[in-house]
Amino acid sequence: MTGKRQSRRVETSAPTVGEGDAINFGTKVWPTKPPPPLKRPRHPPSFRPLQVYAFGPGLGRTPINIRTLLVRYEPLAPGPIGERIAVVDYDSTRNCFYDPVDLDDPLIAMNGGLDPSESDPRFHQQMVYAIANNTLHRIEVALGRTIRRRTLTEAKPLRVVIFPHAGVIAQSYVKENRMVFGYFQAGDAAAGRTVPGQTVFTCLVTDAVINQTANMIQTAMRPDLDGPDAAAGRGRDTTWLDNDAIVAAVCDLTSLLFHFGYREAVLDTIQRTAGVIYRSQLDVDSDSTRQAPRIIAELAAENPLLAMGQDFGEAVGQRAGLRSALASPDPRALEHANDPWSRGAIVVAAVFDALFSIYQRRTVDLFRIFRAGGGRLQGNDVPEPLANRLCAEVERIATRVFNMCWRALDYCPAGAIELGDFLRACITADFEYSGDDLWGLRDAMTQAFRLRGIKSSTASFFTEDALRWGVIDSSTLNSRGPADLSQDAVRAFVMSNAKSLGGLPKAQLKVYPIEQAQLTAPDDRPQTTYFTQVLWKAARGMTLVFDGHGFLKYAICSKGATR
Amino acid sequence: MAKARAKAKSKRKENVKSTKQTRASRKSGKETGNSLRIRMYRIGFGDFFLVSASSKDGPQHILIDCGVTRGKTGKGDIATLKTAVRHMTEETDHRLALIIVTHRHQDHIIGFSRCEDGFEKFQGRVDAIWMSYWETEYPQVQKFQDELENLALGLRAAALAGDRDAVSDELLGITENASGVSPEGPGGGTNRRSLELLKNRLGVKPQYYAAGDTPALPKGLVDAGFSARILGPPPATEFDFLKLMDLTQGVGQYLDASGSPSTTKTAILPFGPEFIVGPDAYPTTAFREWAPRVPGKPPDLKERYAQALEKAVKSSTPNALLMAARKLDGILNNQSLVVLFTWRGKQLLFAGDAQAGNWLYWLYDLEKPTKKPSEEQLGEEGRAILSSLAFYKMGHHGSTNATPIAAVGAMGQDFVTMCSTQEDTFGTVDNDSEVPRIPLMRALAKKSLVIRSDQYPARIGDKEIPAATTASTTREKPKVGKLEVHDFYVDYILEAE
Repeated sequence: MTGKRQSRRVETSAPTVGEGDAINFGTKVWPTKPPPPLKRPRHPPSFRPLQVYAFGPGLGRTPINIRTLLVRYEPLAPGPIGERIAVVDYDSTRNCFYDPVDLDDPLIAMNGGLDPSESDPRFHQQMVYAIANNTLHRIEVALGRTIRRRTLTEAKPLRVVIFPHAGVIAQSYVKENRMVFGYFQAGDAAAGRTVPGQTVFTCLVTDAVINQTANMIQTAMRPDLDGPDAAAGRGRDTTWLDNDAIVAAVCDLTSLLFHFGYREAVLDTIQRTAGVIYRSQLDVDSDSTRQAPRIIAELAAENPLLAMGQDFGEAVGQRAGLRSALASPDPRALEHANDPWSRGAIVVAAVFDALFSIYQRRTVDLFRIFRAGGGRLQGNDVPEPLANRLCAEVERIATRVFNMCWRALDYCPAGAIELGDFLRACITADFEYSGDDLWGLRDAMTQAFRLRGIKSSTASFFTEDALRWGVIDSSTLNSRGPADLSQDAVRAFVMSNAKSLGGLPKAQLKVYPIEQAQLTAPDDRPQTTYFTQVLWKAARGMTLVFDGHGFLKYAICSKGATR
Repeated sequence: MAKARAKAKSKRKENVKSTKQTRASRKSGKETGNSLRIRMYRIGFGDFFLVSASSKDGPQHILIDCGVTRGKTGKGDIATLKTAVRHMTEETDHRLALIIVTHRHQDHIIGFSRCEDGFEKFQGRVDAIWMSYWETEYPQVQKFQDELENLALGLRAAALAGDRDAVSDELLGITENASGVSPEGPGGGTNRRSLELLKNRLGVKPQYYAAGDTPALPKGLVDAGFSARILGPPPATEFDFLKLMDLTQGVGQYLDASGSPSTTKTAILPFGPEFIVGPDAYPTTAFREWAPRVPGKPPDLKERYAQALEKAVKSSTPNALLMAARKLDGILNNQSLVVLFTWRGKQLLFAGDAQAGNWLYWLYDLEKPTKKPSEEQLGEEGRAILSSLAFYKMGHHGSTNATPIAAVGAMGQDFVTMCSTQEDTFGTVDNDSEVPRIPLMRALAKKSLVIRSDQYPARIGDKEIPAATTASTTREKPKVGKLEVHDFYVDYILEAE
């Protein structure tokens, strides 16, 4: 049976270009001009990758020392000059400016910033900007708010100007809104990887940049803790000794805890300490049986996670970092500590004691499982999955400790405070955020502070519930909270409840602007809290904490502040 | 003409009155054998004390320090030092049983070189000179002191090079006190010349003491009923030398790079010339913090305020120098010789300018001194000394860091405290740093009668120096002994029981 077959046109040759701008494919016409650009809105990236030294130039270009930070994106002018952080490279000793880096230059941006270099000031500018920005971001996440510079009359957005090469001076410091970094020549006593006569840039010491950023943030958010005469330098009336010690401790803790957020360094340390990351020395990389090292790989190294500012310390003749995270617990050490840095170091050691105690407790089962499966840890043989697990664990613990220490600043009394007040603030801040302490971190902190002789003169016992600040009994107040969260309303509220709040002296009250913090608790519960400080003398005042409804929850005074 | 004659007559009367007073006070020393007189000269911010008692060989005088400094505000020197020294030389008839130089700050020793002519007449007529261990001629100690002085001079030069503000004024005040160099001020003299006169030109070699040493009292003073103990400074340790090394290292390089004299000699060029640019390389927003602000309007960012920025950075750096200067000041203060005299059972404590480290060494039983110990930790010996004082020469002109709180708490009652000071020389009330420190004065006033040298108006010739505004106007009498107020000195007279 045959029917008429439908014929189908088949293309047997290539399409020909006809006149005009179309290729004739028969029934289909294809344009030869590119299509016009689509009118889509351009979304900027969330982060800008920038290379920095993880520790400092002393460790060279080893894999763990070159790090790419993901810094919050913002358009930058040459400097770099951003909305909140501006880097202006003026040298007061040489009386000159140095060439500013343009991080928005496409060639620089696509490389993740300039490559690390000690001899190029533009890399130094890039590094201080990246680290300061990153530190500020991390602290704001912990506190749940944007940092503002508070005075008794106003709270303005925090703006920082950084001078990475301000002059020949062997230190870095903060003055008002300026962060000043000096440079100097290492002396004859320079040790370690620093050569005598070498120019040392404090702006390239990562810990120094983090430390000063933390210092500036503390000064901005809690100006009452600075006390009078702070602008002329510390080393003053002993009334403020512990204030200075706590500020120094939180700065050091910030620098050291940032080490634990750097995965490559933590993994390397885990490998070189067989998971015992609180060892002060790392195993050597080579298998040499010689006693005298001949190459870098045979040099025993300090544990970089525990040493702060190693380059700086070696440059000024110390054979170690400026300060260390650990020190042997000695209950009498505090009696001999006469200056803020010594006292602050004891607080740092106590916090790290707690951190490593929890780390040990939470990882002991992992090691047991590994050994039960026939594994043996010999030298550098930590298996990768185990190393990753240990790294994740210590990062989690360090994050919680970091958040606790920074949030504790909101719960410290106003004016002159003691070291024990900081412990109480840590316990309260962590309780308010986490509730149940399944890890036992708060207990570990309490014991670590106790071992070092840091007591609270305002707590009756050394237990967690006694150390937590007492919640206000609202039935004793005229109203549960002020009419609104303005300074005048808070002042009126405090004066009308003076007796219930512990008997405030009759004096003019100074109220700082109120800060609002918004966090999400581990159980996904949103938390809104309001903080402020009220002073009646430079050294005497109270911190007020209001809950999300504006009701007073805590009125925290230091010893002797009220009658 | 008649007016001029009347004025001259009045002046002659005043001089006669002053001379009579001088003779009377000299008489009181000779005739009253059982009394001790402690004289505090009013010279401003400095110490100038004369302790006198009788012995069978005549009156015995102890001179404790002779100096003054202008300080941060320039108001510390009230230009009475030369007159006071002249008065002292007449009073003592150019004879001293003992000179004590507590430490080498300008406000304790400048008088020796400023009034060199007067002191040279004491040559051969001084029985003993006591100084702190830190003035010995041991090479290591001398090198230490020379480096301190060089550091002070370098800091001073750096402060003079910058703009004058509150910080540089304080820096200058501290470094002038440390080095004794003050070309702008009145009088002249230097610390170095004062030390040279004391060590070489009075005809007696000084004795150098530290805490625990047994001092050799001249026979005349022993006969007058004195005994003495050295309570400070603490013996020198290598830590003191390390502290100085840290200080020199931190400051010296800055001084060198900025052209000031220092011990380091290497110039630092951090970057190549290809990186050096002008402020035009920066956008105007880089200078936004220094843009003039008009309320209600955004800042004007059309210009680059480079000069204001440069000034801000330069003004940041002297703070580091100020911290170094304060450390240097503390090191020198803690070298103070602290002497406890006992006269016929009465204890007299002269603390120089000793600060915490010096005090705490002898006050507490702990192995190392502590910064803020409770009163319960005071040693038995320290407590015994403080609770039985008859007289306390307040440390460091009444500053807060020189009389520990715990020491005040342990002091007894009904004694007399003398504080040679001048208000508004260092510190301010606004930032709780005033000298003398008012809360400290109040605390001591609860235990003793506090006499400030500046609480009375002073008069020298036609010149009248008003009393301090922060001093109490209540004129109490001491519970034990008596007080005599003269034109430019105050006497506290104790009788033996």
